[in-house]
Amino acid sequence: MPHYERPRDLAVVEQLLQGSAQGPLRVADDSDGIRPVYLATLPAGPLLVLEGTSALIWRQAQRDGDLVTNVAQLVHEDPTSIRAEVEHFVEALVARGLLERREG
Amino acid sequence: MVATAVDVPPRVRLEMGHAHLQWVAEHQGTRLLHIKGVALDKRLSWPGREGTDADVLVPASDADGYVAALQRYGWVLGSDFKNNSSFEHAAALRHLDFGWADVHRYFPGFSTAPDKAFDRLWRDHGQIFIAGRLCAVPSLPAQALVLLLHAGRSPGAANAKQDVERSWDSADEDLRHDVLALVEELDAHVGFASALGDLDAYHDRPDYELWRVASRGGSRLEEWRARIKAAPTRRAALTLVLRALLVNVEHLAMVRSRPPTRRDIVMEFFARLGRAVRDEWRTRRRRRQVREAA
Repeated sequence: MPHYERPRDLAVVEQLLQGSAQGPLRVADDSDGIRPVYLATLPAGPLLVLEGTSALIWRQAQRDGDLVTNVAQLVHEDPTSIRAEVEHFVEALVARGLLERREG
Repeated sequence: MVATAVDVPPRVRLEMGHAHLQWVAEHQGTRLLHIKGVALDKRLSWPGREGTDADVLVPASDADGYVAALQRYGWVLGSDFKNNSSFEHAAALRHLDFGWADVHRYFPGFSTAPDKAFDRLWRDHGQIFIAGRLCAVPSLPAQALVLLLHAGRSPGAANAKQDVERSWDSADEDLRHDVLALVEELDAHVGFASALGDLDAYHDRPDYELWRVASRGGSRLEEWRARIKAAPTRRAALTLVLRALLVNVEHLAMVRSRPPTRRDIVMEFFARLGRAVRDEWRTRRRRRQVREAA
């Protein structure tokens, strides 16, 4: 089961997370809902925004456990019905440099 | 997934701007301190204090190289160090994605040599994450002093009053003690006095006029006189005299959205001359009216 992390040169702003400039960066938890996340691969950019389920998948991909199962639980769907779509989207995020496969 | 150029909250763009400035500094090998705005310690901030541009401070000796590096990574020079303000302390740059940035090569008010002042601030700097990137920020007392010196340039403004309130009036004894120690170390007495309304106590200092014009207003001619008086050497003063009416080519390019032609520059030279004379007359008339009304 592949795991993912954010690339080192990815700038990330998770809107409305209080103190994001002052405290250590944290991945928004489930209580943060599906807030938008702004991303830019440095130095070239561009500035991108992931909203709704896109943001949710990007966050969940960085957590332990089975990504598809976790996402399915959060969106109240059957894992088999969303597996292909979620995996395809994560591959697109990797291709754009917005996620990186974690070794090990 | 949407590439976006609109509807990005200003704070998001500011944080991204800081992260980009930091990335370039790391790849350029330049030490960078993030100051004011979203980099400001929460204890000194207040709602609405975020500002409109990303402010950073670099060692003066690295400043030109850093600005050149930024230009290689998509930042466009809006105003260079010499033309941005009478203190000649910052260059303004704009990036299509990451907004505006002010790169400071020193902070107005520190009379110590700029590189030495930077080294002093670097010595006890802290670190925070901005847009997920680790960024260096000055210590709390240094941040308070930076705000006070900034307020000293416009002590009547609403923002300046709030900054003075947070950084000084309501500061505890420890913070005040540390700020005063830094004022001594960095010879920041004139700007500090300006922030606290005591500028005239330093009327015999060469940079007094510069602070007086910056904080209380004055004509362009008065501003140039003050800059020349504050120049550290006669050679620097002469350079300023020769530069006083030269056209700010970067600004002209930005206003016209194209590189200015030779004719544009000549026209602007005479327009500047006319504006300087009109400005001086207006300032004198205003003062006469105030005197007569008193």
